[in-house]
Amino acid sequence: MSRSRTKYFWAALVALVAVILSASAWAQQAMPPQQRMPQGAVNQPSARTPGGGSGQIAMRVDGEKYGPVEMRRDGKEFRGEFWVANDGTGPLNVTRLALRTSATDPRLPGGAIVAFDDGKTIATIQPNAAKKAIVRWEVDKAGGVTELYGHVIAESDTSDRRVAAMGIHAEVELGGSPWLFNHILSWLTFLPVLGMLAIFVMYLMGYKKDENLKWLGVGLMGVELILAIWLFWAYNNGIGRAAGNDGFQFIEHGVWIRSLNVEYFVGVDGTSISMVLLTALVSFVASIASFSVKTKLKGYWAMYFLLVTGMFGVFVSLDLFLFYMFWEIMLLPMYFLIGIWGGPRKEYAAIKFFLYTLAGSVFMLLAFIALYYNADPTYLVDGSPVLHSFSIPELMRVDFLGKNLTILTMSFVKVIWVVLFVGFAIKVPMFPFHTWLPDAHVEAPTAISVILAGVLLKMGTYGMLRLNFGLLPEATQWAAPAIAVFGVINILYGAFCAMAQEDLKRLVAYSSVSHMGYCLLAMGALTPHGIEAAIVQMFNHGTITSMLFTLVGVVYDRAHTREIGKFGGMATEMPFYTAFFGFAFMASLGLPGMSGFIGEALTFVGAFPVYPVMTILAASGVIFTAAYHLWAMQRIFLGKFREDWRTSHALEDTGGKFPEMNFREAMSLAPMAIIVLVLGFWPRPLLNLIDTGVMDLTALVNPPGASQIAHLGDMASKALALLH
Amino acid sequence: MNSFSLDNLQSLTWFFPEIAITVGVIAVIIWDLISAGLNRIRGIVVITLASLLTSGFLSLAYLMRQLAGLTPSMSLFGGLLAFDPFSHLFRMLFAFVAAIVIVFASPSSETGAGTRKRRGAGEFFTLLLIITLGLNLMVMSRNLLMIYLSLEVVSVISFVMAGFKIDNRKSAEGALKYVIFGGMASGIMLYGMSWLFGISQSLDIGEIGNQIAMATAQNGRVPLVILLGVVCMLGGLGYKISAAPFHMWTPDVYEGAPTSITAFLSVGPKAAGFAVLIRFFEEGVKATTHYDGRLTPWAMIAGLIAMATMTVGNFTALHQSNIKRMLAFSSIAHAGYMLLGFCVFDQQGKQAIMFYLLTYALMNLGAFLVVAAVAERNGGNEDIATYNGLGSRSPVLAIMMAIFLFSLTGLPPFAGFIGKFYIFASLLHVGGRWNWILATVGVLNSVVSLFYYARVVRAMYLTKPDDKRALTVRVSWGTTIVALAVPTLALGIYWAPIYDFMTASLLIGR
Amino acid sequence: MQVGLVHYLTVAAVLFGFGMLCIMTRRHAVGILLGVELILNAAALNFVAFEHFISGGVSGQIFTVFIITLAASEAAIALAIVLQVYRTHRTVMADELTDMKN
Repeated sequence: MSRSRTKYFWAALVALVAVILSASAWAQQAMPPQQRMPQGAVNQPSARTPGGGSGQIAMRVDGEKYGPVEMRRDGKEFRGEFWVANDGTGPLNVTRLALRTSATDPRLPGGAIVAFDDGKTIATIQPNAAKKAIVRWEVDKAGGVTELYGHVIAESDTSDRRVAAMGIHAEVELGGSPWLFNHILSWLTFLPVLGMLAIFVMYLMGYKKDENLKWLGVGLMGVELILAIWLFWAYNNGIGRAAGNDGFQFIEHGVWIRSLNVEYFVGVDGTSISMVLLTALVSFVASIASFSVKTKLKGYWAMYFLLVTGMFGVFVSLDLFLFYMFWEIMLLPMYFLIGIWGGPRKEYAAIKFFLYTLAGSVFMLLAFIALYYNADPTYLVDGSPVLHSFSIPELMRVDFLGKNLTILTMSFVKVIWVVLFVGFAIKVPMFPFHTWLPDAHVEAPTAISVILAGVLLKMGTYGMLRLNFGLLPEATQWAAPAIAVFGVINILYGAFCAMAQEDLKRLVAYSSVSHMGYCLLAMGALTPHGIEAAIVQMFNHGTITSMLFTLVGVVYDRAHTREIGKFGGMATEMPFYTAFFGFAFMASLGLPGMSGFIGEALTFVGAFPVYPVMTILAASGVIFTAAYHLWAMQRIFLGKFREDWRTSHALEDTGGKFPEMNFREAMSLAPMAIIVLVLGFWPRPLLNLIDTGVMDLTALVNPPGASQIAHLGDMASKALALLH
Repeated sequence: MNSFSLDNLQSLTWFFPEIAITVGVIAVIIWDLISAGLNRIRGIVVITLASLLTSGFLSLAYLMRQLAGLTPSMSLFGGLLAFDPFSHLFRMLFAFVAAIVIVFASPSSETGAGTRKRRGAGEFFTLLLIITLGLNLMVMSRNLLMIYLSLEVVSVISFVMAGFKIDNRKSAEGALKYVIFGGMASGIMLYGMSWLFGISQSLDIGEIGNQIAMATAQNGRVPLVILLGVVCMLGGLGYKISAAPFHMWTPDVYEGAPTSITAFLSVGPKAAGFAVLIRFFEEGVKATTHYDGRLTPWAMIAGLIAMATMTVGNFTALHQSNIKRMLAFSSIAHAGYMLLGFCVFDQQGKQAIMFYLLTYALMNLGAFLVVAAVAERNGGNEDIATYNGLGSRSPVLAIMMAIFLFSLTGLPPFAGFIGKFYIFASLLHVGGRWNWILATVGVLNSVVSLFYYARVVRAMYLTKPDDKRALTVRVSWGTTIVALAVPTLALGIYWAPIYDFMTASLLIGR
Repeated sequence: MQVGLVHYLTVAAVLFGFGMLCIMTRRHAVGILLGVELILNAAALNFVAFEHFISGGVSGQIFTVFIITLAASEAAIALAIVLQVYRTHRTVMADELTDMKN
């Protein structure tokens, strides 16, 4: 098809799709309203005559059955109104109108109040009449929380004693442009999709100068980085679960697929904020490193943008279905990015990566569906009652263990926990599911290796923290020793394998396996220090490993080989590069003064009280880590420079000399290097971010016993003081 | 059970879609005789499309009437056919599928329509219309005789169409294997029907269901005779949907038949077969998964067939080098996934199957269209090696094929994932040990399927082309391919209106 | 002896068995079709037998007439296809038709 005709086709087909969608929407309208009842919704009771109340409660806002009530700013407080109506045939006694929160289970931030317009919380409503109710929120009493998502519930004397609910929502306008800053997470996630659409339009218009696409890439990633930095600045460190909204900030919550009870629910808390920042940083650095890609740039950047969308989406989504969609969306771009722009064995590496990850995630899907169907009845964000929900904060409240469910005669929580764990363990990668990593890393182009090691590996441990620890804490306690054991195996096995490598990139890949082992060991300890160490290690390893892969890419671009044995004495040829490389390797082996040390030290502090023997083994792993790092450095940079490089084919263009690092390569390394150095001496910014989240998570999996509660405040502040 | 039944004359007023198709058949035959040249082929295509669209829109109109409550569900012709939303949805699907196949077949030389002498065009489109009529009747059948008749109409005409490529060895061989297998399968089904008739003394599905329920309640378990009768019937219906172990005809027939017919066979009769299965098991057998706390034989049989079908389909597809054969085995595997939804015997499973059929129709038709387009430019060579470097030779075609293949695997954000999601959700909703085993086998098969779908994608994108010339596609085919790919992508992101429409229709009907 | 339902059913079952045997073992295409015909007739016999001995209506006999008709049309199509196979392959032995890999 010629180019001009293609345009008409695309236009015709967009029109066709629009026609189909509007036809189906019309068809839905044409159906009588009761057909639009959501699946799994609790039926409205029909009015029944004697015995019990014959009223029928319905809560409405602006005449609509579904909310949420949008509260508007009114001076120092937010105000919203809605109606409590009686659709039945008899009088309705509302016995309690209250917010859906309690002291033991704080769901809403402080300062919110609901009452009827006469100030009371009980009322009697006549048939076919409605009474206005007002909900108010004094923001100053909320302790720094800037938004409110919740429900107002009304208990009444209807014959089925059903509790009716109406969603409420209030948001403080952030920054100067609320359309941007109040939806910062959606912007972060979907801005790259706009980039993809831009590339598509360029393709349709026959844009030929593909070299300029890299500026689009860097520019877009730069904008994302700026948004992420704003997010970091605006994030309130002190907000935890007790402060309301389950400890999440920058929430966006709306019903997406009513028939499945799926919501568009995104937010960040202490566990995920560092990952969002890491993703922005690594994407930016990798986009600069992508300058070395020369062919098929439109496809490359389209896939790159889709990958970034997927990554952000996974870290911010709080709905299991949304989480799964974003998780799977990453697989396709990775397959193409490795398979088209990769090294000699790219197809094998790409399909291996795809198969491994898909195998893990399809079982995750089954686990998600099982969790969904065994969840407790709750309400969607607009107040509609549902029998099951995919929402992660709601699922965190369900006591799965207490339901005594079984799958194939095994305990439900244990099976689901293992299934989820295996799915995430493949990504971590955890021994014995790690075999995809060396191939994928080695064959992927530099920028993709950076993203793979910097962010994708962290998704495994993030998933474990958010889902395994968060949803199934009792099973986590059951499996914690196993996690720690696998962590130690990772550390030692990764180190030993790295020592045996001849290919520099493979060595770095195995060092990633080893470093993720520290995360697992720390997580398995279930102590506050341990979990904090895991998140810190995740962030720090992301920054350090980005540097490492970029550096490997630098030398590969020049020498077209990565074999350690072929190099030697590079310090004389590329001194600047040697300095960077030395810095990166020192950071990777955990030299005090750089951020890697903080992660490892916290791991040992956190794990030693619980698993002394394993911590000692892990500490000995540090020796092996140092061994292969220093050995590799010695073989590459020190010693005599091999003269046969002077006349080699690879260095023909540069006259037998190794050109020094250029400005672009230095720019792709500098941000990470600065962060690594700063966080090594002053980890407080990072630790402040994650402290509250860590304490909430630890309270979940390692709840203090009765005697410890009194000491907890004391101990916690002392422990945290040690870190600062 | 339908509330009331109409007699012959009254039923005619509700029978217009089929009447439209019949009128179309007669019109095509007459037009074929009286006109010549280009007008002849154009007229034939127009008449065929018109009758199909009439059938489709009339079914939609009936559906809207029923949803609005204006017309109740009833049975036509004294209990032979059912008039309910379930059948309307399927009839709309068949009209759509047949229309796409018309677009497919009209320029193609395989059917004689695209050649200079344009021999065979009239027969081809007439037969296609008659098959659609047969499919319509299949989904409406409530009577053993009607099931048998409509099944035979579809089968016999499929035999002819599978062998439509005159003087082609593979086509003839495929048709012969189809005839032999089809004859045997319908014979077995007939034998089973005779036993069911004997037990219930009635040909009506509702009556049979009542008798089976009584017999089961009396004995506490399903009597052996009934089990044998139903299993024999399953033989015939399983052959139609190519479930293992009745799938042997599928690869040879799909490979030998003209690609447009393969595309039609992979969607149309399969969907109709599922419709008959669902109706028969819901009304005729009144199957449930558990009875008295134990697993019913129906659930066990259906589950075993589903697992066998998926596994055979996926694992045999791994070894194929002919893309039509590979897609044939993949369609067997997809029948297996749909059978998983069938195993739960409840409303949610039915909805899952319907949605899966819609997405499957889109993906499969699209994939076969791409196969036809590529094979045409390669002189009929259907080897996967001809897809090497398609990404650079024809970027649009390659992207479309990638969309179809990844959707067939079941990856988000494509429609195939949503279909599979609903199937697994319906399985896990019922729960129980057997369903968990089925779900595990199902997801494992999805992973295996990635392997052979990705092989084509790898050939397209990751391999250098043997022939670097650009591959052009016929305009009508290209537009249809894109028209099928866009909903495949769109339904993966925003499927709520269509799904809600389908489920609402099913809620009222049965 | 009194010929009852059981005898008819047995004959039909035997016919069915023979038909299956025929399909499985014969090489000649027309021979296989003979087997299909046997199976169809077994079912027809079943229908008539049940009709006569158990119920009193006519649906069984109607069904049998339809079976005969459909068997005839199927046989016609099948033989036409056998002819086409002969034209292209020059043989009608089923085991010699191996163009497509199994």
